[in-house]
Amino acid sequence: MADRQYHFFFRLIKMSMKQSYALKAAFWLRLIFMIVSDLIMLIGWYVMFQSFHTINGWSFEDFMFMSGLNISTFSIWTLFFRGGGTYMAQWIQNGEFDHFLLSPPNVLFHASCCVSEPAGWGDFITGICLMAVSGLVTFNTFGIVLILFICAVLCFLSISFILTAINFYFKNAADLTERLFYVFFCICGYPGSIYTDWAKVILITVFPVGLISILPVEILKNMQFSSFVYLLCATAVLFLGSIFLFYRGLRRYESGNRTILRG
Amino acid sequence: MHKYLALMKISFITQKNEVSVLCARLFFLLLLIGIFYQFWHIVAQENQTTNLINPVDFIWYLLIGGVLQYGRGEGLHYRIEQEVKSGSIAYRMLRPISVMWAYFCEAMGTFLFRLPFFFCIGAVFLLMITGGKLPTCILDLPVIFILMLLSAVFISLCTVFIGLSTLLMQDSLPMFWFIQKAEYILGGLFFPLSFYPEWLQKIAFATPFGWVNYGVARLIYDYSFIKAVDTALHILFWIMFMIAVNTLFYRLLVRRMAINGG
Repeated sequence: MADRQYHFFFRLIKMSMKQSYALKAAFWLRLIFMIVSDLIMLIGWYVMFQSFHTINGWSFEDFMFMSGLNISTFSIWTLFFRGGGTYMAQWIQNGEFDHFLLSPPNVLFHASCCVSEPAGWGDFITGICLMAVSGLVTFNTFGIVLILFICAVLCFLSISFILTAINFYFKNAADLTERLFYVFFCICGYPGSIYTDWAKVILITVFPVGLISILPVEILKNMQFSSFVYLLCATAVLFLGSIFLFYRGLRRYESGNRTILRG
Repeated sequence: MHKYLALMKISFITQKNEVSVLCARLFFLLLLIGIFYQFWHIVAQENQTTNLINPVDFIWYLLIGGVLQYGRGEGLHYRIEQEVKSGSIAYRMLRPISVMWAYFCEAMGTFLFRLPFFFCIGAVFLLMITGGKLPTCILDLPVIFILMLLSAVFISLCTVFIGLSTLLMQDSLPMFWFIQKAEYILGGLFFPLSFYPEWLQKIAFATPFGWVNYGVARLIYDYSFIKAVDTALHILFWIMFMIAVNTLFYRLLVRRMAINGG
């Protein structure tokens, strides 16, 4: 049974990526322009770090690693789980979610994996390159970085599931989901060191953006075992909690009775 | 002309009904200012010898740049893209108005509502977090506001351009990302261009973004009549340039529509 589920997801991901490649010129343009726009932003921060050298203890290398991790995490979401978050929120709001409920595969992953965004490849390439050149990834730290990356992806997915689940509890909340996503991206994009005191506490607990942007860099820089354990536990709680929240919310879903065709 | 003004008015009135969108945009604007205020505070503490702009001037600078960024209507370029892709733009062309200018008026109507609204609420927020401290050139605010309106004209034209770029690129998103990021960096939205190395400042001022964003926002702490006139003339030049580019794209669109029939 599990084998059939995995087989289905791989086929689904393959199909949604093929679909995104249908307009070839648009695919390549999105990919290239995404890399260019990522690099433009990086140049801006490079100039800033050239003027001030460090920002509350963070150097440009730390910032590069953080950006690389954020961008590559984001790219995994856009490439393989783009259905989660804003798309799913719209489907729930419009009563178009029945299609997934009636299909045999796992609802959450079926809905998440059925959309792919080609620009994600541009982000993925940029993110991996940034992490590689940051100097924080060495032979000795490679294992930790891999775990940090997996944790960051899981946190990102969890947040997208939670923001989607909001739509089960509140009517017409798709717009709110989209706005909260923007807040999330907005906070992620700046050096984690500018968030101090209570802001930092909130970001690694209540609004867990810090699990993707602040903690990974601090763990790698200072090799703090306690922070590493906290990250692992927080990721596990967040991920399981988000799935629980989603399925609890799903019970409240009201069908829209609309006829929709979807692959 | 009357028809275009009516379109602008409709777009202006629509804004009043989109309270949730307005609140969300305003929240992002204030969040952005809050983050950068914190950032500048830390930088100022660490670099006490550096000749920095004082934090009060800096957040007013951010407010002006932020209002220009968040005041624009969201999704217009995407709507143009969809209309171009689906061919439904052909139906719009049957109307006795230029589609290009209709889009522009729509974008401008949104801006005309949001610009004063965001600026006033943002200003109250800034006065609250700075304990009522005013920026250096507060008396020159009316001139700055006029220049912000000129910038709004350019940005609205730019939005139409992004939408029309679908004709060449099959997609408007790449152009949107590119222009957005260029605005952030070359427009000095996060940091004043005076902190950039000379080569990057030259590049920024060779593009419209250096004038439309930074050129206007810097006047809040470094105002002079000559600088204001210089900025206005440059923005006017780029407005003319953008009108020419959009007209070219629009003619191309009309020609393709005539050949392919939408």
